Amino acid sequence: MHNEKKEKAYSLRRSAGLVFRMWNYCTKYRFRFYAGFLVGSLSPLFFSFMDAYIIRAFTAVCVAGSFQSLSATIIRIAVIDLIGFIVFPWAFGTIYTTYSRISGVIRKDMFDKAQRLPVSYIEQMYSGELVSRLTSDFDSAIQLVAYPGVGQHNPFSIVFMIVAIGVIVIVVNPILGILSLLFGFIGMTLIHLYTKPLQKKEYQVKQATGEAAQGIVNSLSGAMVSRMYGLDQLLQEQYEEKTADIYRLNVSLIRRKSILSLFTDIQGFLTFAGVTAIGLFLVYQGMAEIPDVIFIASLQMGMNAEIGELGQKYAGLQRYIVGADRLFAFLDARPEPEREDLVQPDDQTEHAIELEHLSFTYDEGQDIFKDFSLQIKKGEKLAVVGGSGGGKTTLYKLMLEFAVKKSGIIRIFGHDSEQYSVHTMRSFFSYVPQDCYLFDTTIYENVRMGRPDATEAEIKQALADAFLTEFIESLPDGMYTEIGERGSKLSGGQKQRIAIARAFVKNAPIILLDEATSALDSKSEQEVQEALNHLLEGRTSIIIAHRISTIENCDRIIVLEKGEVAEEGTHQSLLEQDGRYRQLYLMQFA
Amino acid sequence: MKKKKEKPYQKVLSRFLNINKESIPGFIAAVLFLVISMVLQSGISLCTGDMLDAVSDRQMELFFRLTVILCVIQLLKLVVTYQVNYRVNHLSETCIRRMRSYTYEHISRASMRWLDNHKLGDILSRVNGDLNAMVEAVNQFLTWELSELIRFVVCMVICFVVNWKLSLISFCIIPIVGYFQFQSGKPIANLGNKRSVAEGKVSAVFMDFLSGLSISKAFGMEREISKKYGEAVDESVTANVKSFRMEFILFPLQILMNLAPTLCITAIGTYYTLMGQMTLGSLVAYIMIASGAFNAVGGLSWQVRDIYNTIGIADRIFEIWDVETEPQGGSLTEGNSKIPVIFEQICFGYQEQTEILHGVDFRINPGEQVALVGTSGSGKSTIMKLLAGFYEQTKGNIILFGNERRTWSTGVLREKIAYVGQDAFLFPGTILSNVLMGRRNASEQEAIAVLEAVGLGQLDAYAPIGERGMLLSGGQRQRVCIARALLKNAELVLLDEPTSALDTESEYQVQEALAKLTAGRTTIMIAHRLSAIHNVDRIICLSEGRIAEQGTHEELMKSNGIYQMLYENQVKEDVAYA
Repeated sequence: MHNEKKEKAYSLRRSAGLVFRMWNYCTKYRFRFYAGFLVGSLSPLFFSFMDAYIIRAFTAVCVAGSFQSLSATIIRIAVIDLIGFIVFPWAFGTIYTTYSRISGVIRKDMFDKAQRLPVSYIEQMYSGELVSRLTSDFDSAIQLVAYPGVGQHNPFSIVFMIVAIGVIVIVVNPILGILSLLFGFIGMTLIHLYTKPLQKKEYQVKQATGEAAQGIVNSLSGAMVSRMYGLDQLLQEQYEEKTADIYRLNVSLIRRKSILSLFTDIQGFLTFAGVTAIGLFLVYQGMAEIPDVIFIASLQMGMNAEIGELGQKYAGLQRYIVGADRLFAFLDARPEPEREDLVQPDDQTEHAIELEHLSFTYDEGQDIFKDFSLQIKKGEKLAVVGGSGGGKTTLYKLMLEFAVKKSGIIRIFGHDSEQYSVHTMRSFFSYVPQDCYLFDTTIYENVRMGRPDATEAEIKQALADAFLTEFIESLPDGMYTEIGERGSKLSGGQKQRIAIARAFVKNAPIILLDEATSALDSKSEQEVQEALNHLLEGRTSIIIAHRISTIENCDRIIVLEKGEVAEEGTHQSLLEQDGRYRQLYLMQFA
Repeated sequence: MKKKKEKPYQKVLSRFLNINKESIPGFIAAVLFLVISMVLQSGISLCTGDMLDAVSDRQMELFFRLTVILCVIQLLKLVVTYQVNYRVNHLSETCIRRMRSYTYEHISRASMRWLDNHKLGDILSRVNGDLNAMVEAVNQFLTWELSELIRFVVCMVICFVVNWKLSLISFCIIPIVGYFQFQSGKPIANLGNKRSVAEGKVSAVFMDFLSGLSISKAFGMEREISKKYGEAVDESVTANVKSFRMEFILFPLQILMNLAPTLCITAIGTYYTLMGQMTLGSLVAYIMIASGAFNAVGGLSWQVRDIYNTIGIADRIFEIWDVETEPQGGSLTEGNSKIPVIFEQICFGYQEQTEILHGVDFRINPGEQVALVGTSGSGKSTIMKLLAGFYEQTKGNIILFGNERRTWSTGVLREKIAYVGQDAFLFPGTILSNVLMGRRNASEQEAIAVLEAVGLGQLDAYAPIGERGMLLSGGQRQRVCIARALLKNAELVLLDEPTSALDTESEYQVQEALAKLTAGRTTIMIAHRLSAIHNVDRIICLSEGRIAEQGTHEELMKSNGIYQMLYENQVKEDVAYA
């Protein structure tokens, strides 16, 4: 869904569609937006017109040679200016404040949508890649709403100008008017035609710039490796190559851009000096008045200035439209389907979880589970071991509906999981992963993630249950200490115990534990182990185990290989079987 | 108290110019051409004015002559315009390229200590983000603001030449206008900055909350998280709206400053014309030229804002350039003794107050396989980092191959040490390209041989491995790193928990590969799983920054000390006897 859309030129119709969709996004603010936008877009016209009008008026005074008309003219102009003085600040203020509000609404919608995405996107979320792409798409797209207000110059104001000025100059002096418009039009067309081929090169520059940026990312991420292997020169050479590419591409652009500037210059000359010269000739022939000539020439000059800005702003516009396209693709995506609760968990069942003929495949086509069945009694502690790729984590994902099964039934407390709402389904489980995500907030808030309506006392209790009280008391802010991005200020053992505290707070009947392999030292491991044991008391639990002591404490062990239960039994009985389990067990201490 | 507001501005500017010294002649040439271009432009206005007078006086011969002159000036102008455009853009590209190189050069030499203290994401957004901002700012200045500046100066001079009385009056207005523009520019810039900081915060919250989406869903927290995010967004919107409102109070002032000058000049000029002191043509020409100057001033407040921002950006870039670099090391390129490592009374702490190592003393003999054990925080990783030269000890000597570590040439010393850590980092490329990074002049055959040795012979060495080697499994990545280290053929091997991030099966394969690496080489390893280090020659057990005991596994188990306690604690969890 959210894959890289190729940088193809968007058709005018499609672009317009996207722009209007952005503008109409918030019906609440729509009126204010359009009002501010229309008025604001008139501002370049207004100011250009006033500039030309002023000159015309005073030129007329000079030609007429009267002092009275001078003072009258001054007053007239001052009054008109006053209007602009009041109206336009209002317009721009409105645009910008509306833009803030609209962007707030879109941000919230984006977030809501992101939460309801199909869970296959969760991995991408975790790494932050998808999220940062979303953020940059948003930043681009929102410019379409800010755009009209930005610096007054935008493609829409140009349209106003061209139409208004076109009408005015023809009314003032048809011959000269049409001539000046013709000059303007020819110039504009030539410039436009010459600009188009540049876009492809500009895209290449963007690519090259991205690659150079990636070079820095690699160099920094691999800083240690680079130093240990003395790679700095090699990496620098690679980087220099990339900057040289950027340079070369840009230089080849420069020549063309310089020629483009000639066209612009000629156009400016024709539409001002040229129009004036011809106009003066017409004056000589008695077909025009001097003030009118000056007026038309000044108007043209004003228009040129605007069009000159257009080129730069247009490039930006393209980018924003692409951003809007991607943003809407995201917002339009189908969310995870919502279900209703059709049943209540059955208190009488013997089994907490029953998997019947489950089959599952990841996109790439490999069958993880083909006809998998498993039953777990209430209160049972089940250990799952096996080589990597055997399906252990996938089992959890299926139970939590982070992955969608192909066929088969998952029964929780007696009922098909599809008869519960997803929310209810998940409320049965406390998931304690190997590497738990912690939010950039306080310990308290992170534990409260277990259950939003938990009281302070309950959270304190959960922290105690996870044997974190001593640690908390050693902190100046206690529970309310900030833990940094992804919990950077905590040690591995502390992070894990906060994850366990969350599980305590949630107080769900089934624990899905994915034991950390061995990232901690002995003392921390012991602390974590104790907290875990405490958590598992009295609850049904499935444990992807990596420690023998954990396994020994379990009621039953299954060895999961290639999506099948290869062996099953207690620790002793499996050792005696002299099969896969014994092999795995021995591998731990080669 | 002597610090004036100009100081940082000058410092940044002078440093910027210093870096781009080579471009200064080109810059001066561009400026000259710009000046000529503006002069010619004014010439066109003056000519046009004269043409107007000629027609008023019905001197048509003069009119046609002036028309020719007009065209000639324009042709000249075309040539100059091309030159200006070409040079200015070229200048911009050259400066930008230079700054990119500088930035890379400096950031890639940052000391590990600095890197450890800063989050990678932060650094990257700084470097890449600030770099891009700098690029745009330089481009903008050279292609736009510079010409506006020059236009102002040239037009002003010509105005004075044409009619000094009128100019005197009109240009009294300029300072007033300029002052107000300037004063209103700064607060606008500040408001804008505050807004972008706030936006950044909202984006960071967005990122944080969504990155933890799986946990949110697992605990059914979606609604709660949405609420929190909504609150953050609302806060930011309110702040933005307030900020914009403030900014637009200043706006009428700016409009006034834009309109007033033209109006005044035109009115006064008309008066002079009516009085017969000026011709209509020269009035029109004058207004054209003066407008050029006024428009340049009109953009002044934006320019001030831009310049302020640019200085801010440049300052941040310079911070990156000034980042602490790796210690240089000395000049020695030859070892003095076969003994690989001697630590003499080493004391060290990451921060000044807390010392982690309190007088560590040990010696490693050639070919010895030694394990460092201890609880977390006892200093094992620290010792590794000191050995690798990423940090400097506060007290004591580290003697490697007979020379004090600081006297070694850093590059030569690092060639003697191979390091394999937890984080199996690979550069984008192929397996082969990564392995070949092990040693500069290694041949492809050698690389393939080591790949076979670590058990990766059946993989396609030429296949791309994706970003950070994503297309390989954890165990495979680590084995590529081991192959790389194997190719390096270093005398001393440092292993820092190389298998702790792997599952059991991968761990087994990686252990086999590690055995190939450590065979016959002096090895120091940190292994979390004590049961994996039974076969080392010696175990050094650290406790609280000191060496508590040393010996073989059997010796230490008998001595009833810390090692035994650690071992038994672990063994309660992973019993070793079949």
